[in-house]
Amino acid sequence: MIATARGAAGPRGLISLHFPAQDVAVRAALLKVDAHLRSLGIDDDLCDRTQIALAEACNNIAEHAYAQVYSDDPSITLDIACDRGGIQVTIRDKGGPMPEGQLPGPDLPPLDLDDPYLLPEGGFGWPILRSMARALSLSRCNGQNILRFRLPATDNPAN
Amino acid sequence: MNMSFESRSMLGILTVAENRIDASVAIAFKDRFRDLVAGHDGDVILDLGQVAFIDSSGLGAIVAARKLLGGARKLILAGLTPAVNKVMTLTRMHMVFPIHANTETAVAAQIDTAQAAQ
Repeated sequence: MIATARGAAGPRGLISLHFPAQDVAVRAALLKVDAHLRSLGIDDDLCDRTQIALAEACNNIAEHAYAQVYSDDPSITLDIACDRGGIQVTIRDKGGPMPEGQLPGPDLPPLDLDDPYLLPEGGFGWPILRSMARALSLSRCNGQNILRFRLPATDNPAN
Repeated sequence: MNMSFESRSMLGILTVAENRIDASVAIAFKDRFRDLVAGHDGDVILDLGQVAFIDSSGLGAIVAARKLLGGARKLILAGLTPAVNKVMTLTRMHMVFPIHANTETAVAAQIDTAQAAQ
């Protein structure tokens, strides 16, 4: 893994990580990002939102994108740039394309409060990511998926 | 998965001594939960005070754990840290689980409920 951090000139902090698309490696990468953001003085709430959003995005790649296609290098490249307005995230993988090429919607799975056996155990990932991320976009170029989103400094729907 | 279980009369208190419940430990969490509550008949308080982070896989594992208790018993959550609370609220799971600030208030509330029912 390569991590770089830059000072106050230009972006306040850049971090670039390349790691296997596998849950243990995703955890390790997220912990590195968290330590880096906290070292820059980013507040707890934005650090938490970043962890939550990155976990859902990276787990989705590990669980779905690379499940569809053989790859001799199932990996994720994560680039983060911090500025005064928040955090810009770019995540690249070489897994399969999103079905229909579309990002899943924001709807949570149905909830029946009367029957615990009907409670959903999955389907939370995209709604969670969508609720955190602004300017979410997915593109595909040369066999690579590129997911971009922004985490605003203040979690206000107007952002 | 570092988890421990303590029984206080009819209440089981299950403490997660881990920083994260994420995709890498979701299955281990569910398995350990099942082992720890085996032989316990009452409601269970899940103390998440040491858990700083949970992802959707970890959330799914907690929902699965709740189902292991069956329809007649409750899984009560205690000590939600800010990131865990955020995920619970976003997914509306705060409507599913009784939630308390910490294990002591959860125990007190359960005792009050039991006494009111007598």
